[in-house]
Amino acid sequence: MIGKSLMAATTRPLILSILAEGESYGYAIIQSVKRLSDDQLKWADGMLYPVLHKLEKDKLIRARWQSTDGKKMRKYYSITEEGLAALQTEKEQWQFAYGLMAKALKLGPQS
Amino acid sequence: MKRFDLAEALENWTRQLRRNPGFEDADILEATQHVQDRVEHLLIEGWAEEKAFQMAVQEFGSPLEIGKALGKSRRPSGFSTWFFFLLPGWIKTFYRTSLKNSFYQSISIFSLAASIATALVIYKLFDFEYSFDRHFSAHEQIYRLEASFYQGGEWIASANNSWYAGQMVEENLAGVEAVVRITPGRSTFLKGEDEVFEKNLLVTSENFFQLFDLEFTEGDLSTAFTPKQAIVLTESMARRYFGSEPAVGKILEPKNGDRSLTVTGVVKEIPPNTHFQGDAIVNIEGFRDLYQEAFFKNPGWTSCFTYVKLGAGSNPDVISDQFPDLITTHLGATFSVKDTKFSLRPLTDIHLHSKSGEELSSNGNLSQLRFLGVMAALILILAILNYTNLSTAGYSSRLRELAVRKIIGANRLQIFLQFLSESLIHFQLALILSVLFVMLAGPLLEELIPFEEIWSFTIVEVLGLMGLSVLLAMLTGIVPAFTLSQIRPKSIFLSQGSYSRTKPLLRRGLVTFQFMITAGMFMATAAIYHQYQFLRTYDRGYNVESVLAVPKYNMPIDRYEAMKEVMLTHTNISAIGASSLVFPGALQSSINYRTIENTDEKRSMKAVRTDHDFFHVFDMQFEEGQAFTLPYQAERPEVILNEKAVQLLSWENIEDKWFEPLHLKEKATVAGIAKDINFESLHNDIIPVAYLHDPANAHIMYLRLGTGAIAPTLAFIQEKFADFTDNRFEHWFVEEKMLGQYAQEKAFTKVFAIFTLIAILIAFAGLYGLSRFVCERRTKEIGIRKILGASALQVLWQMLKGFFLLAFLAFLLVAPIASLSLRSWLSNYAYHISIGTSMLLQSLLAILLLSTVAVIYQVVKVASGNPVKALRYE
Repeated sequence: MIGKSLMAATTRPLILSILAEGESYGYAIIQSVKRLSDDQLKWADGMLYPVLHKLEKDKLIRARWQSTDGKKMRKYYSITEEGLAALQTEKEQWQFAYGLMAKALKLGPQS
Repeated sequence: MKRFDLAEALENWTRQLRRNPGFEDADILEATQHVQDRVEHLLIEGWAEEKAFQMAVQEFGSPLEIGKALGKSRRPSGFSTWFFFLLPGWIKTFYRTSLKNSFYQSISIFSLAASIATALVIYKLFDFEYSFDRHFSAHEQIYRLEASFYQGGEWIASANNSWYAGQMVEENLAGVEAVVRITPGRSTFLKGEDEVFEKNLLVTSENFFQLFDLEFTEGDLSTAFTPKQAIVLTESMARRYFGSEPAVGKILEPKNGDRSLTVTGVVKEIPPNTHFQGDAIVNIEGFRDLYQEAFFKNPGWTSCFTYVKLGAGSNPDVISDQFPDLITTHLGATFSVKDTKFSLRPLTDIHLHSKSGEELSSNGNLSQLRFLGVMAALILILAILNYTNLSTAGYSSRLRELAVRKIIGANRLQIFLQFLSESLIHFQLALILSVLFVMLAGPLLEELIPFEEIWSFTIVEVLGLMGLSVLLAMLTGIVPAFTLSQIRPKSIFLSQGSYSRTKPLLRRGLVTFQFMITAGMFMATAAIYHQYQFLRTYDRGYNVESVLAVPKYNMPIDRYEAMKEVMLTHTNISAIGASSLVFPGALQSSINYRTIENTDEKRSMKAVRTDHDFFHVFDMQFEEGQAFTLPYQAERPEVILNEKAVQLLSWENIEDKWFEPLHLKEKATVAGIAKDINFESLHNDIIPVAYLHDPANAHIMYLRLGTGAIAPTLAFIQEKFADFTDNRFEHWFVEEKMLGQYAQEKAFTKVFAIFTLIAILIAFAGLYGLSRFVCERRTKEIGIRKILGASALQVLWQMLKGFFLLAFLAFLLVAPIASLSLRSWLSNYAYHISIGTSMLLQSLLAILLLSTVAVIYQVVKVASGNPVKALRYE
């Protein structure tokens, strides 16, 4: 389990990295998050959507509606060039933070 | 226990989201999809449906929290999304739907434009009629001094007053600042070799321009009537005599050797919204000696229109309260408060409120004006109903567009604004088109309002008009826009949208109302037209056909008799008579009289001075007795009374009766009772009249012509007339002039017919559009009916039935209202038609016919089509 502020900080890079793998929709993104965290990240599923909207507004991701079986309308999200660049920056920052924390807190390699 | 229903539970949960303002429609759709996906997933994992739903919802989180976060995520760039993303899309959609719905939209916009044009014209007409005399700067202080005389058992109002009355008021009442009198004048002037007859002169007091400030283009107020024998011309008259040269200082020579007139000023034309009109203004002081002394001194000689300017702060009621005392003190010798009343009428009231027949120029008609106002309002309502009807019909085909717009992010406010702005654009388009219509229709309305008046708009009016069209657009657009913005996109995708199906009741109501307006207007037009025809063809009890009138002012009796004899030698002239009455026209002269029953009390009655043959020329009938039997100036004078006069005197017969016109100082024999005839317009009732045998004062000669050619007869009369007098030869046909009395009715009938036509066109267009919509919706139903064996005729009836029912309902609702208001309008006429059932039924027939014609084409197209195609429709 992680704290609330850290969780908030991880959300953005997490979603961008999932979408960097390919186009996806809300429910599937949540499933990926759960899978990656071994169900340890306790998000309210619905809180994903405001984040997605914010990313969309910042032009880091884009969305489109598509009918899946002629009936269901589903909103698909994909990462933009700007999103990829932002993800790269995030990676570098997290890399640095991880290095710092590893040294400071004398974290051993993960088993 | 009730079984768990997943769809229902999902629907309830969605409803919960909808209540949260943070969730837009697109969010709700996305969230619902999410929960559905999760439930499906849990079901696969083996959870029970109910439990799976509970878990999914719980995992999704609190709608309240999420809604808040959603709202926050959206806030900063709402406008930019709208401006850069939704607005271009909206403009594109507006363009596309306009093309797609061009049929319905053109009908709506056309109807709106026609109705706005109508309202515009009527507004200008109201504005014009209510603006009369307000351009005079002192208009609030000016009043007309009017008189009423008790004659023949009733008070008869007169717009005229005597010269003396003005003098009396000016000299005796504090608070009266100035008095101006106007009396119409005519004269023949020399223009080189030519003689020009000027019949529109205003003969008036020196201080005329102090009350009525006309704009001088030459000369000015201070020198206007110096010297006294002066004339101030209007620009057009100045141009006629002196071309482009300056007119001031020039001389106008009258033909009859009267003294010449110096032009002392030129004024702009008297504005059309003035209750008097004239080509020139003449100072009476320069010609005082040419008038009889009695003109200025006799209080019974009601010869001029008298205007009083009250001092600032003077109360007209206080002034009026002093009139009875004034009459008693100054007119006591001839009049008393029992038979004479004075009153003040505000200058600005004259045009619309004075009902006198003796005005300086013809007055407006308030009841007609109100009628037209109601009509314009009804036409406007009709067009707005059409618009609402057709636009809601058109919206049903746009539900999918609406859903997609909502899903890609338009919120309710944006959708609301989109539809509202569409109606705003339609109304502004209609406004532009209406200006074009007014331009086209203006010349048709010339008889009611000068064309340039329709065209003069102030900035305030233009802004007001635009504001009004925005307001109307809001009023008509707001309900559909609001309803549409509330529709859920999901329901549209799932059920094809139910918006248009929930509205037939509203639509039926609107159609019924349209039918009511149309039927009402049919009834009104029929009534107005029949009334006009009635007035034209009413049998007045005398024959005016081919009667020519020729004034013979001041011709001595013997010369007149000699001329008459010569004229009667012409084969095309069958009779000649004369009377003091300018036929047709108001009975102006009255006499005081005594009879056998009342020797003491002085009474007054309208009088016509005639010669013996006057009755013969007009084929007038007698109830008793006959035309004058004795020669003129016989030992005992003779009078003839009309039936009303005999009724007033309560006489059974005329045997042994006498009637003494006081001025004769002799008792006259009553030679006969002439049948009642109406000299004046049929707006007025017949009043008691005494015909006096007085050819010396019968100034108008009447000639009954035969069926021969008119032109040579007229030339003959003119030639013989010139042999006997130097007077100018004037003439008119009595019948022609009589029909002219109803010129206003004629113009009114025409305008009303034009408006009814517009209303019919609007109603027709609306019904046509609506029937097309209904047929499109019922195409499948018609196909099934035909496959089950219905004939085209049966289908037609099936479709028409609905419209007919509404038409009947509308008729039942409107007939009582229309017949009541038409009866009240007709009561303005002393002689009028009655509103019969047949007239009402005709209007029912008319609206049934209208709906049949509007509907039949569409219905026949669908009903005669191949039913298989109809079934494949959609």
